Amino acid sequence: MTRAARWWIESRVAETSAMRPILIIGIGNTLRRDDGAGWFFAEACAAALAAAGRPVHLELHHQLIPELAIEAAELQPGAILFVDASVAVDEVIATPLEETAPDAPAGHSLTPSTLLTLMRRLYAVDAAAWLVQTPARDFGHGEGLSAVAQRGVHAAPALALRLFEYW
Amino acid sequence: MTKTIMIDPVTRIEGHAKITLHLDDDGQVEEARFHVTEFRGFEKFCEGRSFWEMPGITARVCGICPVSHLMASSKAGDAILGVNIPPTAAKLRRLMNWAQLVQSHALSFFHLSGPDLLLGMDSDPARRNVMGLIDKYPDVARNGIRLRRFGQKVIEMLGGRSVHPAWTVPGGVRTPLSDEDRSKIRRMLPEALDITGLALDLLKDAFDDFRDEEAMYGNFPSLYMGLVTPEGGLEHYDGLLRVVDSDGNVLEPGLAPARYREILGEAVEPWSYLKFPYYKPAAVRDANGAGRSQDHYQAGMYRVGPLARLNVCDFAGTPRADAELREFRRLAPRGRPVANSFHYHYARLIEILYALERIAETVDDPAITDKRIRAHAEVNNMVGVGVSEAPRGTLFHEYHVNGDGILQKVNLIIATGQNNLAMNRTVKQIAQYHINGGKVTEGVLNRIEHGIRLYDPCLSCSTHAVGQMPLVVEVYDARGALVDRVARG
Repeated sequence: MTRAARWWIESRVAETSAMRPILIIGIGNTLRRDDGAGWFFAEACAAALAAAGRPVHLELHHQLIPELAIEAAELQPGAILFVDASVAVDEVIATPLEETAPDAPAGHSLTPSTLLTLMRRLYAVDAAAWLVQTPARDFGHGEGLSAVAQRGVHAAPALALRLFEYW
Repeated sequence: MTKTIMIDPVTRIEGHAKITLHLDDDGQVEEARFHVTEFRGFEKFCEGRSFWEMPGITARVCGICPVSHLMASSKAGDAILGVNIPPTAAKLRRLMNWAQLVQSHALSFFHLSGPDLLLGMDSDPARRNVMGLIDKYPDVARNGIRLRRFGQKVIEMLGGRSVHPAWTVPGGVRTPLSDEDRSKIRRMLPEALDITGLALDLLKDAFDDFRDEEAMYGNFPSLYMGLVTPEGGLEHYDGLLRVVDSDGNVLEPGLAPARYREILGEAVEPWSYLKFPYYKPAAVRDANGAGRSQDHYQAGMYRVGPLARLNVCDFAGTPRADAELREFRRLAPRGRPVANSFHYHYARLIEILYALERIAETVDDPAITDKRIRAHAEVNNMVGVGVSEAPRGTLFHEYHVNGDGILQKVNLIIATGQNNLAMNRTVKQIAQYHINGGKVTEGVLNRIEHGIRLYDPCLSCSTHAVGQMPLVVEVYDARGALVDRVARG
């Protein structure tokens, strides 16, 4: 393949991918303080990407629900970002997400990897996916974020632009 | 030497629980208990709040059935205001209530119990879950999601979002239904009805594979309770309380729900956070009338939810649901209730069908888009009781307020709690049937769990009482000898 042909193919792929929206799913409860950090982080990511001219679709939910698989099937995103607050991290971490293990327990609520599995296996959603965990400490009743959670949310725009800089 | 087997946690249910089985020296099941291990405290921390806030607060008891709490709470608020809400508001509330019935029952049947019914109770536990269902029966998994989506979409159209919609309020509802959304609901209905028909066929085809389960999964005499219309029809939002016994005798033909305390009591056990509601007139008493301890309230065991609702009503009131109801009734001797809890699955699907037919009627009602949807008043009564049928059974909210509408006392009786006695008895029955000589396979443990799943319990809702965490931990050595016991509470 000539260099010119390769460039043409790569630019077509980039162009096609660039037309497919980025699906951002924020998970959490804004009435449980830092548990809502996922929402704020997701909103900040969506705003930053939209300002940079990327097509974005934002979903905010208390918990992941199976119907999001249908939403993804209708949207056909090029990439999916799950955003959740986590007490287990000290700084924002973005991890590539894979499908769930076959023996994972399932109940009323889903994990990001389980939902991704539904999207891919039931609806052939072909999208790269990441789980973004933003730090959280205070899960008491009430609104507002702790200093730790706020620092995480402030990092959202930079992370979003970095993740999709070459996408 | 006795032995204790513990299933912890119980999977594919909402909430946290464990089951303990106590075996005697011969390895036979002597006792079985369903322990609910989570604690919420809503009844207590709502004191001091305004009754206006209660729909929003109590909806957050649960993320699966918040609509049920919205309904019961708003109706309690209606009673405090002393208002009859506008007819369109009542129709809209019913619309949301039916939509919730559809989504909740769909999740229960397809994703929570579906793996057992379609993959088999004894199938590889690593695959006996929704992932296994996706691999083997992807169309079934898709149908479950689409049916649930129908219900969630209707709730979202009415209330602005599908989880914790801030829409029903004391006096009515906040926003009317638009013509555009009404048309959308109409367009979504045919697919939802088709999926329900397929699910009914799927379940009936599976009956032959579950004759044992049908015979002894929660197959025991009990009372049944649910709301009915004044004419005796199936009811989920309003109506009267009816109680029927295991022979089909009507013990209570139609009690105004606000008088529920005349017939219902609540007992407490030290080994579970879930209270034990019981039918007071049937409870056993001493000769001196004082009432004894353990056996006193268990005679008043009753079941609620889909099976009970179909057992207490005389008819459904929609054509396809009534046809299925006639077929359902043939599962029991003529004139008697269907006693096997295994048929909660069938009852759930009939209720989905009924709800969809009612939704179809309601969106064709010219008044459904009327803008008069709220009555306004101040506090006129110091006590308000709101009762509605949640997917899992009858739900009671009782509020006592002062003249400013500030809550002094709250009592919630949750559907799942009312099935507590029946769940315990079901666990024991299944365990006694399957466990002989102390041999327990993984499939047997799953069957016992399935006995709980029949009731589709919502444990986050039902453990709202205040109390010290009751916990007993018993440690047995390899020979089954008790070596340590720690008790708290």
